[in-house]
Amino acid sequence: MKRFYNAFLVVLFISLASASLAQTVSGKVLDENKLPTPGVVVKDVKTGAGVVTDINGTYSLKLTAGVHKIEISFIGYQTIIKDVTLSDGQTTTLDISLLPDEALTDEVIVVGYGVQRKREVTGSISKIDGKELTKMPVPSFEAALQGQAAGVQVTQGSGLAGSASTIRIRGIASVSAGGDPLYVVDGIPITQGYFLNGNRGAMNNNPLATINPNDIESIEVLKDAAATGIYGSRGANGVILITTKRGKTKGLKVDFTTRLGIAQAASLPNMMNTDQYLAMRQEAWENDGGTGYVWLPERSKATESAAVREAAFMEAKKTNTDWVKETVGTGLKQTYSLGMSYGFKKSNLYAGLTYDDNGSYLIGNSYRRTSARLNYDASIGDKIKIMTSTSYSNGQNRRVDAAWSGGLGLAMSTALPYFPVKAEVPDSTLSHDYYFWNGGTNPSAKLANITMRTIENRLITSGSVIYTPIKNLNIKASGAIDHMDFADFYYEPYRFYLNTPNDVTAGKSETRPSKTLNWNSSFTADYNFTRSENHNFTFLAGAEVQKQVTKRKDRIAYTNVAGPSYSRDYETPNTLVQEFSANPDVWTFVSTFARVNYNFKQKYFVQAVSRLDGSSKFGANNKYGFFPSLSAGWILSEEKFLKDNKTFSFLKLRMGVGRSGNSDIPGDSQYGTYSNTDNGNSYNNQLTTYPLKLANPNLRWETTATIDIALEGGLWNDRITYTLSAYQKNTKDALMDVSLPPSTGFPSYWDNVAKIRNRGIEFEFTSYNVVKKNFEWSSKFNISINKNVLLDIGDYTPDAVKGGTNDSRVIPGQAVGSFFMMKFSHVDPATGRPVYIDRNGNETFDYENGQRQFVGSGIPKVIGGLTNTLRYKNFDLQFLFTYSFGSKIFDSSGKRQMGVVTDWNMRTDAFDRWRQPGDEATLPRKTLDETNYDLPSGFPWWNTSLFVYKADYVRLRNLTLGYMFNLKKTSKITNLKVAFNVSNLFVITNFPGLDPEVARDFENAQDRNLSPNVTYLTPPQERSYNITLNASF
Amino acid sequence: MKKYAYIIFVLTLTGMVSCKKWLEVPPEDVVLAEDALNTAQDAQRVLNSCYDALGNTFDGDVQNLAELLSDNLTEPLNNLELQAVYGRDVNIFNTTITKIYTDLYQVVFRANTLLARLESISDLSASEKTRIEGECHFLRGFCHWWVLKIWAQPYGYTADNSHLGIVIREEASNLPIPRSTVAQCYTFILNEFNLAHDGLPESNDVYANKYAAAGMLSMVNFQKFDYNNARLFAEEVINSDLYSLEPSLDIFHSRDTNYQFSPNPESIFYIESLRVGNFSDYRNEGFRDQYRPGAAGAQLSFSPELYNMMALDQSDQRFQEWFLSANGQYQSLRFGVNAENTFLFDVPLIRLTVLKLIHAEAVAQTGVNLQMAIDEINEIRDRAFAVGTNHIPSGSTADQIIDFARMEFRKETLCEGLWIDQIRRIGASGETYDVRGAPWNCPGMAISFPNTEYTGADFINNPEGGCN
Repeated sequence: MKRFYNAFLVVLFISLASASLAQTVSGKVLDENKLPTPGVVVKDVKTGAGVVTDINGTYSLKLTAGVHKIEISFIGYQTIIKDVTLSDGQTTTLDISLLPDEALTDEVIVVGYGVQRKREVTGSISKIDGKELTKMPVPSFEAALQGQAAGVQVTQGSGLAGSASTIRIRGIASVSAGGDPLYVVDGIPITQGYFLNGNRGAMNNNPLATINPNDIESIEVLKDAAATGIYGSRGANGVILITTKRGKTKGLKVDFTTRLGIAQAASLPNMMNTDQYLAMRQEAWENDGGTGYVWLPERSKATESAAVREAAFMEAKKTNTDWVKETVGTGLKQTYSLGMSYGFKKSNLYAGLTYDDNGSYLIGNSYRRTSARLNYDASIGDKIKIMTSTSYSNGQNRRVDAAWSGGLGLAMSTALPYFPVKAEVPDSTLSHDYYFWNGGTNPSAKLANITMRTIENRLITSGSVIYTPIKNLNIKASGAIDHMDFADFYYEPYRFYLNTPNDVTAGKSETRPSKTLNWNSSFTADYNFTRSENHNFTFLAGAEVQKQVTKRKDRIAYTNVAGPSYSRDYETPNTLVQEFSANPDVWTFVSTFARVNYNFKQKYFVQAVSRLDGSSKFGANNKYGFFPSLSAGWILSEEKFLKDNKTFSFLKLRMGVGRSGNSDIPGDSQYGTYSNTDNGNSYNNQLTTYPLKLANPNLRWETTATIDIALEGGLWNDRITYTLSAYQKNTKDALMDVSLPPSTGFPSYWDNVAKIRNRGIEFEFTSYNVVKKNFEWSSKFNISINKNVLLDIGDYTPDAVKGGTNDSRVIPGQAVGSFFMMKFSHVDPATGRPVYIDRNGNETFDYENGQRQFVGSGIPKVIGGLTNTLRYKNFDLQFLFTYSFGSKIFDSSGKRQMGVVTDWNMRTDAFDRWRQPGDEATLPRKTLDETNYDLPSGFPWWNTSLFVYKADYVRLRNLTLGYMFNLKKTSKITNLKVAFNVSNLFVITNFPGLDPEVARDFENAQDRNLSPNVTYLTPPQERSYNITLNASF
Repeated sequence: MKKYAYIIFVLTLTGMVSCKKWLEVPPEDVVLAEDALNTAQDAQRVLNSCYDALGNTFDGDVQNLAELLSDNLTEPLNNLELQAVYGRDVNIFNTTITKIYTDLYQVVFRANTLLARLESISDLSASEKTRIEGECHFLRGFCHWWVLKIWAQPYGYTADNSHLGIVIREEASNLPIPRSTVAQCYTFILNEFNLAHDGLPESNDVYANKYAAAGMLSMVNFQKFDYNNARLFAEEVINSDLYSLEPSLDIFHSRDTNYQFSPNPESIFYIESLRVGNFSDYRNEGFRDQYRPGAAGAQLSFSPELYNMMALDQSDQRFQEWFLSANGQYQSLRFGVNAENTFLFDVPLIRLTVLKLIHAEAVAQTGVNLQMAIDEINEIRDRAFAVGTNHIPSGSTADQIIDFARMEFRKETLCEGLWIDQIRRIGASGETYDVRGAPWNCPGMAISFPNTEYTGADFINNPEGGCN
């Protein structure tokens, strides 16, 4: 503020003094987003004469004739110096584009319970501007973090609307406990329940989907212990701090954005048509020794006569349904967002209102979010400031079945091409004319009749009072509530299955409600002081309590319901037929923490952090955990030997060590419990009670010790800024929900077992390659190399913990999330049979589950992103590439689509098979009998490394072309921009399946950790085309 | 200053107490272990839960599994996991099998938990304690026995029975345990039933009593070729005069049309189904749903070989009443012909007919009193045929009696999961017995344990498949 004030006086004085000057340089100053920037100081370096840009970003500076160096400076941006030569009476135009000063000096970073200037930060923190999140439509804001920061692995969700991405920061450090980072919105650790709705319809609940990306000012990703240490027991997997927008400027500023778009599938499965499928089946039949025509599912039986089979075959050939087309279409997207900022004399507010309808390419599927936000800050006198933040969101997910549950998943599996959509001779027991087949519901029929929807209402509100009794001392009391009211609704009319007239609308409904109340209260005090000018201290101390209560019902079912109802009035008069309760999940935290920052001459920095956490989740013997960290930074560029170096404009070395934890397990994990007597079970009409699980009073936090060392620098006046870091994270006592031998009589047991190590290097840079008046080009690049190793799982075997589609296990010496299955060698050219490799490396025809072994890891070794931004006059073009190397993907549906010929349709890739002796083929000979592959009879589920592929890819995640309109100075519109955007335009990969990047539907947190790269009929990501209009007033 | 120190001390103490309370969040809707099992009533309820769990899995599920390993049934209709059992090619991921295996050990877990706590329950009388202990041992032995007979090769498979049996669980624990040998398993199981026999009363409502334990001792000793003890324990039950043969063949239809209680007089131990007012407690779904002719998804029907064997004497009412040749299948009517009469019935687990037939063979094997054996077999045949019309020849030799006893055993125990025991015993005794084209001791006859049993490093599984 002082800087502004001084600049203002200088400008005022100089302006008055030079009133008689006739030469003028004038123009407009724009920020990196081409928005007019008020308050920028434009001055003559020699004389100090200067002006400040007005609300439209324009300035006019009168100068003497001659050569001048004009300096343009603004906080948070790089200072620019331009040469201007003016002749007598000349008036010239000099428009300026500011470049953000990312690195360095004065950028403010949110660090948890406070802010720091970037130069002071001694931990590893990446900051992402909120504007980056709204450049392209994504199912949920976290998806837009992909490729934006080093060490942040974002695996995009599937093509389902609202689907969740998985985020891993510096690798995965957990086995069964939640491996996601802690999300903190405006200081509140929010509810992160991904499994409130289980895995229904092959979709997990996404707790982040209701967060409006338009409200986000910035996101800070805290990566190492020095940064996350202040969150102690919950920081081991990183922390994502979300800061929402607040009122800033005086007066009214309004921002309106609308976006319209369409979504298509980025790739589609190459399923066989009827002729192809029948030919494949016939070949398999003949290979197996069959004669005549092959039997067909739903048409004929193997035991029927040749004539019956032939008739069925010929009948089947008459139909050719493309079931993929029946389930996939074009989704429509529309967003309307209004943001308003107003500054009063001693207070300000930000209000936002957004409606977002994000339709996916799956027919009938969309996620609609309506959200409102009001953030208000006010000062009361000189010593008290209050800050409030309130957001309310309503999310409506119009769900459809996918993957294993139906829809496109059926089109990729048991919806055979010779099945018609509608039956020629309708089933007399049905009241509609859709064709039905055993074991699979016609996806078109289901879409036309059944309604599935989740509705989520979420209120996150917080308030703080900051009292400043003396200079530099702030005492802050905060309270917050995060209330998530979530319900899944399902309606099925009787006419769908039963012989009921079509006009009967009654049916059955099922509701699965869940309410989570999470409240948090903290009390902090911070004080900073300077001694002898060179010694600067900042102290922070605080205490915090948090409680979360989740109550839900597994299922409430009603009969004779007239139609879909989204009421949560569970006392409706309809007949309640079933109600299942789930145990509430309740946990509490209490914490104290302290942070001390010291710097000497703004050159040497030290930070010490400690946090003591107590949690109800852990046993009596380990209730509390202590999480300290120590870090230091040294700004070398402030030393004499670099002080005036033109090349190294900034150079900082920092290092940190510390310990953080993870406690993301169910609240009752430590307890040994028995059922109540109202458990619904009796014998001889006598009450029962029974043990449910054994207690583990020794259950404790999993802890991660981190060491991080980094070099941050700026070159050539920060034209290039970079960060190079190296780290090692050693996790011990990692929590495992051990799958116990069934002979124990109970299924699993939480225990501190595993040791995990993540070790890596990260590098990121920002470069302003060309900065000219009409052309600019800048690049941002990051690369992260991480090696993850599961060091130890105690006395257990890999089968102690499983994930994926029975394909992922914990294997000491390999990455967490490794594929454990029979190793495939080749197809025997003589017989066409698959040849496997046993654990001793010997080739064998025997498929034996006892010989399963490590065949690859789903965790990438290298990830990153590259953003290029080009501007030519009013046009700008931005493209973001993301990439991932070194991981494998298990195509779990491929084993059915390319393996044994069953009642699944197959992919055309299955053509590459053995046909006759001597053939060297990728796939073995076709068969209808799984025992020919030595699979157990009745189990065509062929988990072998044959379907494990390299998942390397480079993806053009985002391509945006924008145009900024020239506006008249008198226009009330201060900014008007239109942009055309394509997301996910192409991906370069050798993976033959749909998408090498997959975040499947998961069963639980453990599955989410262990099997990130397993695809099973998973809908591919979408490609969207969008047009965006942004106007500011 | 002292005053301030005192205030700080009190505040700190209050804070610590508050924190401790704040961090105590026991789960709701359940009972903490330390509060759950402290009274005689608690103990009885845990015991009830053991029977409840037993009833949930002996509703036909376990019996069907054992029956599928024998030659009584044909391949299940389309259930792949049951087909794998029939094919003796069970893999470690078979969820149906895993559930049954887990359910059996769940009873053991509960019984172990109860046994471990009995000493600390103060209001338990000595007699109650003895009874509950006896029931726990019976249940533990019973479940181990059924696991052993499905998941291991039989007694006599190796000369010293050093081949691997099953995991013996004598205490509630989360630790993986390796398999014991079959010899050790027999020792353990017999000891369990002996303890039960010593502790159980002669009468115990619908729960296990002394004669249930005696019945099991007879059956287990019979499998162990200890025909003398098999005979003696069977005689204990037979001579008690508490049980009599069910006059009709309607062993499973002991409920009348109003579902009134009408216990089967020959059931020594059974799973009780119940209807009281509007409350129904079905314990027969595994039979009802898997055999009911025409029922959607019903998987099981008799093998042609069995049908043909039964058809040799069409005057046998068991053939007439239980077999239906329709739609290319030999359906079982043992559990009724429609939904109505398969609605609710008890499931006998130890019954007099079986013990009489075991007794008959044991007598013949030991040569004690052949006429007694002949009479016992004829008593059974009188029920199956018109009385007196189909007796076995008087003066039959021991070997003939044994053959007759085995044939009647097979016919009488259809669907009950007991014939497989005799197949194994016959094979292990040195006689040749092929089960659907594979020897009685082919590898897949001892089915694979679930994969999570591998959690412990020392566990050795059975091979997957290997019979055909």
